[in-house]
Amino acid sequence: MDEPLDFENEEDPLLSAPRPAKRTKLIGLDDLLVDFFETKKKPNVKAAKSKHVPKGYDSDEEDIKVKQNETNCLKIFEDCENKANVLDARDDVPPWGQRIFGCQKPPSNLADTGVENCQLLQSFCASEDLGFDLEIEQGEEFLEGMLMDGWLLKLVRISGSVEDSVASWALAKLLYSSNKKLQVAATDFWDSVLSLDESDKFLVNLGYFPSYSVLKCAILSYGYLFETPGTKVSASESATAESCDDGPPHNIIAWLRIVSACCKIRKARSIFSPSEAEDLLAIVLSLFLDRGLEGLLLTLGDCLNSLILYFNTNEWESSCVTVAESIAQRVTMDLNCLRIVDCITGTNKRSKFLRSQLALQLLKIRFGLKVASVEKLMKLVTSISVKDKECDFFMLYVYLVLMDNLLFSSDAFRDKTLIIETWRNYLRNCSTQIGCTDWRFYAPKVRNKASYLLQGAILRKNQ
Amino acid sequence: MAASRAPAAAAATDGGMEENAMAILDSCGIKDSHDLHEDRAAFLEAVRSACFAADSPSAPSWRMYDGVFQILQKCNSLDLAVASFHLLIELGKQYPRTYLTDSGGHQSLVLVVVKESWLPFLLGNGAVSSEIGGNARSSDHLFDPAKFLLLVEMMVEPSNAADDENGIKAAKNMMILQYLVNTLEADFVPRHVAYKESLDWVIFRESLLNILLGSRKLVFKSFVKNCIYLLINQYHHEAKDAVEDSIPSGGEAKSASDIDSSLNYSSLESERTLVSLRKLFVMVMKLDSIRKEADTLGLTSRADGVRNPIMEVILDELTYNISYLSPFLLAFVEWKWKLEIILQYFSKYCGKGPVRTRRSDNSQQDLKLDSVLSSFLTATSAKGIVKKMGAEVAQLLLSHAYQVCLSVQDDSSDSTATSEKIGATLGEISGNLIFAFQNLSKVSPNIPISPFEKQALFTAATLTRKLKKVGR
Repeated sequence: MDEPLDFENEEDPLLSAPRPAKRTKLIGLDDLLVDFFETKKKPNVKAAKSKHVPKGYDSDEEDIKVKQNETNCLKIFEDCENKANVLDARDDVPPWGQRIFGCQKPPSNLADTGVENCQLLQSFCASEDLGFDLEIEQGEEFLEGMLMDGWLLKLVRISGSVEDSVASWALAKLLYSSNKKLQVAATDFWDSVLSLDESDKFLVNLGYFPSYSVLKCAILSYGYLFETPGTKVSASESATAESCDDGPPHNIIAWLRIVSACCKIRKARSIFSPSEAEDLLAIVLSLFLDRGLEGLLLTLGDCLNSLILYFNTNEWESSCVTVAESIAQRVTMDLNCLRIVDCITGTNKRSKFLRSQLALQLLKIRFGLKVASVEKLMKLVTSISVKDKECDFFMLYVYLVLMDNLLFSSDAFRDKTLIIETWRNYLRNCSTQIGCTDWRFYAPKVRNKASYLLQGAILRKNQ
Repeated sequence: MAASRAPAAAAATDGGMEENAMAILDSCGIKDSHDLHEDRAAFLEAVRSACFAADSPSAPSWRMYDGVFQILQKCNSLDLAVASFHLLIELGKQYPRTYLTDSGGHQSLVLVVVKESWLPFLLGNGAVSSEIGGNARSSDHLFDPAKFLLLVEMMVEPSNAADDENGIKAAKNMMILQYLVNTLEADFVPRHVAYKESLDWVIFRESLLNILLGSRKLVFKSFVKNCIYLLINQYHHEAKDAVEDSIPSGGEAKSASDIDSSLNYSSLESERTLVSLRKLFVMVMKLDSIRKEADTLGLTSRADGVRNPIMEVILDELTYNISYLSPFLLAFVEWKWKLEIILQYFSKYCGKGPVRTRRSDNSQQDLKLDSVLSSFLTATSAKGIVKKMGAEVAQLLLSHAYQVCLSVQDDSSDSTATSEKIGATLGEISGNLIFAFQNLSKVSPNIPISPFEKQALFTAATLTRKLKKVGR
């Protein structure tokens, strides 16, 4: 900046501006003004050196020129600063993650299960004397050992039946025990007890089954709070609440596995009514949003799939719409909704349908429609012009992904060429009309996404 | 006409799909880590939709497959690692490299190996990788035998810095190991089926597992030792978890959530890794017994190399470190092979142990559990064995062997060979177990009985009573 400011010689000011995306200190407006006024103090010397300013102009003219330069300079830098601010705002789009679990409160009725009075232990005490002290009088503790080391399951399988008191005790251990090993053993126990043979009969005589109310009660006691409106807290804020034991519940894996196991025995016994299964499905879907559970993708996916397949064919479509509606009302329209749509893998027909329904419901609620009509949605989305200065590219990005899922996840729109054609044209507009130098927030992402989706749509058409 | 054009069209779309998906990973333009993360996530989603959810899903190309694997190795966030791992497992299931087809001929099943499809392993001279792509590809990230050994070593070494990055790295290593074992298994299982029909050793000579373990770059003994160490310590790990998890974590909000998640996660992953290691052990044991069969039939040649059977290595390790015995038997639940280990352990001490030579068929001389138990039925012979192996070890092995008997009873599939090795009914064995323990306590009165053994006795007594009732 030792050189005089010579704006006539200046190249495109945008190019020489500092890289806006980086957080390096922008050249402050103040600095420039200081520089500028310094130049002004000794205008004659400097001006004399400049080739482009001929000597002998009168000072008025020079003043005007300087003023012009000043305003130019101000304008350019305001511009730059604004652009840089907008780009920095990318940090304001939070990564996906919603707080699903709050305070965990242990259930009250666990203390006394009375399992030590079960037939298994009682009849042993009554009849046997091996000459060893087996410490059976410890009751529950002894049974826990039997469960953890696998003996209990072996006994049950060989004798072909399980007492209700033992079964319900094992379920309580599965849902609430903080001992990891016990939890896993109890889950294995129930998994095995709930399995069917080739002719869809139970391998073990079972009088006690898990029920919706027990499972629901458990997840509520883990602090599940997605249902209650007004508790949506973003993941980053959750760290502040330290007062109670929050974070991912310790028994959630066991919970997911038992739900999954219950679904798989529908041929022999329907444990859940359709509306109960809908509720569970919505719960499991919402768990995908919890950052604390991101490592459980496989377990969650397995449980989701079991629940999806639990429904009878005639129940599925209406249940699916109900679930999609209830989820769409609760999930926020940001990366969260994309995450949840992504997590439905779409590997079978039902899950594809769920995916497209969820996308539909999300868009419907977003645009405040009463009836979910694809034609109307298409009109609304395609009316967004990328040339519009006020265009919200982030929302557009979300719409693009959702629309793509809505249109192509299921077969429903396969033959509606008009809709597909409109969509492709819109994608083409998005990918061509957003310039490469358009650094507005999310604009490049919209461009790339559009061209990717467009490519996919073309490939699909050619098939 | 239409039929002949169909494959060409499919190939074209494949290519298009590949280009379209790979373009996402293209990292030109201004990218920060946030962008990179999103691009990788988008790439995974693109591969998933192309290979599973599309109207006519197609197998991923070499580059797509490789891209997913590289994300698993290179990413530094848990959600990408899990997503790529998940995807790899599913791709393996959907598009197997080794599979069986029904040929309809007299030999009903034919083994098919798609040699040009992508593999996470780099076996042979590394010539494979350059053949496939035309242009030379970098293959540093693929696993050759030495790198496989190194991976297990890395998992054994405790990472002293318990920070976030290390946590993710440990989880990633566990996932990579699981994936590799998974790949070995996917190659092994169809071969095993095909082998049962044809008894052709070549099927296994060419198996990934055999090539991998046969390599001189992989020191088999230390590999097995490391695996045993992992098996034993992960089993104990769970008990420690409760303590470790309660250590409060400082740092910013985001990393706190990451630690929270990996808390739930690393224990789950270590559980699954445990399963993978056991699977690996069982596969090697199966491979060894098939190899032995081929040896006796004279089908092997010098080119097959010599490797110690895994059973020998395990037994050496367990005899040498008695303290490993209990945790190993608890961790290794594959009952069929567990009984084998227990019986071979006994055969070292029970006098009648057959002299094992590599090329002799000694199945008839093999020790049976029944005869082991009967040598504990008199105080004098029990005393003799206890002198050699110690009462505590004897009790431990007997109770574990008993649990195997229950498993055989419970699971009727493929258990005839094992039932033979037991050699008696469950009722007899249950009764004899109690006798044996009573004798042992006479021989060495002050020997403590562990909870596991108490549970075995309880179970034996309960079953004896129940079986008697049924008998009457």
